Amino acid sequence: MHAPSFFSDDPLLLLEAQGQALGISHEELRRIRMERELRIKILFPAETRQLELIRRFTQNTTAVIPGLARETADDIALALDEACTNVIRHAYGNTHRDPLIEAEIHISSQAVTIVLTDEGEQGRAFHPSQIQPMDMAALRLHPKAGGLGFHLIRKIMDEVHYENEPGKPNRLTMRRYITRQG
Amino acid sequence: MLEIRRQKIKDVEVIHLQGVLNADTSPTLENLLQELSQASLPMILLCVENIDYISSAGMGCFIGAIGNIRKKQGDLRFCGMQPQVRRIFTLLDMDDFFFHFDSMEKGLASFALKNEDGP
Repeated sequence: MHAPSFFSDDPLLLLEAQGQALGISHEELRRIRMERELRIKILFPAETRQLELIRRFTQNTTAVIPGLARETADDIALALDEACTNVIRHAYGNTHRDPLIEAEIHISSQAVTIVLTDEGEQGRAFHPSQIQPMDMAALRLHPKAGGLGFHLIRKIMDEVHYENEPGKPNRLTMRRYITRQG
Repeated sequence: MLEIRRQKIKDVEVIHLQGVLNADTSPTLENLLQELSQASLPMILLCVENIDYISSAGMGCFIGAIGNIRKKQGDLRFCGMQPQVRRIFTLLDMDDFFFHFDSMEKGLASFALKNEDGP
């Protein structure tokens, strides 16, 4: 049995165990509040070959969050996949050598926040605020592919914010609150 | 990451898919569906029980082909849809846009019924 570590094992359980060992009462222990955050930054080539790997990594990372339904973790990973796909398709032209995407996944007790950053110049022409909401009824009558990715992102994530000022990297921030159901 | 196996049973093109259907893998399927929708009466059954994941790129394949297929009185249907695949249809409010069946046999039978009702 390994010696417990505050960094690798569940800190709250450890705190309770250590507290009890020190003779601290349950009532006193319950007054302690703890918050943890996790931040992971991944830089990867803007190629479709990488999509599934990054998606699975995101899904596995968010799936262990207490209070987050498995389906929600899957949805968040889908939103990330859709966002990365959009960057790969629209942000970089053929002239850009080694295009990269930076994905930052931030997990707190309140929310999962994903920030995607790219250096694409074509991305500056992308204005999500100007994209009309998908008319799903019209899509049924006249089915055509396209536009579904962003629709899914907006459906899954609670907040979506895009920055694309000239001379700066493009940045898409998406946030999903952990307590929101469904 | 995507394996496609084709089978023709009576007049139905049965396509068995395995793996993931995302922006990387979907162009192959898209080309195949476009090719199959050239038939005079396209009847396509997609067996998806071995699909682990599908994104909007995958949905785009189906949606891109369905208009043309249904105009010819044909159809594209699914069998073996697992929860992780069903999810994207639900998110897009398209649960009832495509027929789906528990098994390949039931999917094939649905096309046979259609033929019996023919003109």
